[in-house]
Amino acid sequence: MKYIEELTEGEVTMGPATLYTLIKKMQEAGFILLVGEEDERRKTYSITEKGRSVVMSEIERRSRMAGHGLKALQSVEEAKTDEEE
Amino acid sequence: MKKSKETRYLPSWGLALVEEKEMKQLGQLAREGWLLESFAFLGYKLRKAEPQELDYALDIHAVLAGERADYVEMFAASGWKLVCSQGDLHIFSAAPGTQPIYSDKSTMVEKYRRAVKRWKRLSLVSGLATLLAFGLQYFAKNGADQTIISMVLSNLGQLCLVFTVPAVMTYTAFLVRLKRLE
Repeated sequence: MKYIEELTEGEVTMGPATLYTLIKKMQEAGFILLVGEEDERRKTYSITEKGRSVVMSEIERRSRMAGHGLKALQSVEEAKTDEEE
Repeated sequence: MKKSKETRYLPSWGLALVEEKEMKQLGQLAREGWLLESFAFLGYKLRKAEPQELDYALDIHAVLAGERADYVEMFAASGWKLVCSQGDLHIFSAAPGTQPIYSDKSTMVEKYRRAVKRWKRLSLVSGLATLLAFGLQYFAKNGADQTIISMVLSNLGQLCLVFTVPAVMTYTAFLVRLKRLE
């Protein structure tokens, strides 16, 4: 959870119950795989092929969305400057 | 209310109905020097201790025996200490201002979805058992050797009903909570 906070520079903080729920869900869906238990308290998971492709397509979809948003904003700005001229 | 020097019983009105209120109440009692120790029959057992500022939170999760350490550790890593568990109910405590155990709505909704599912099953099973017992009793009453069988069935039916009514109430309360959240 600390790692998530550091990775996102404090933008995303995750509660333990949320994290536990999500890990169970990702495991059930076959997105991650339990690879080892160094001890009972610390489990490690690895991402599966399926999980990776889902994440990648989601990243692509969202960056496309961000691009569309940017484009829409730009065209509004352009229309404005056209009007002003 | 049973009161002794060291421990005290606090009745619960049902976590399905008044979860937030009772978590706040536990925090208030901790400030007064009564710390939650465990679940008790239809309530909580508190123990006298140094007054403390604590937040309490309830999670609902069916945690397998082998997963328990992992589950508890995850909460501990963010400052939430497991106080007590009963079945799939787990109460944690933390210093005030600790980040809530659920940080988004969709996973919080799932907490209540799990509860609804569980209580639905319990309600159905005990409801069917009640119907079965009373149904059989109805036929037994019209049979030849009625008295003993019909009496046993009637008692059985009443016993099942005692479980069914609170189960249905709990189910309904969780369902209302879930619908309100969704």
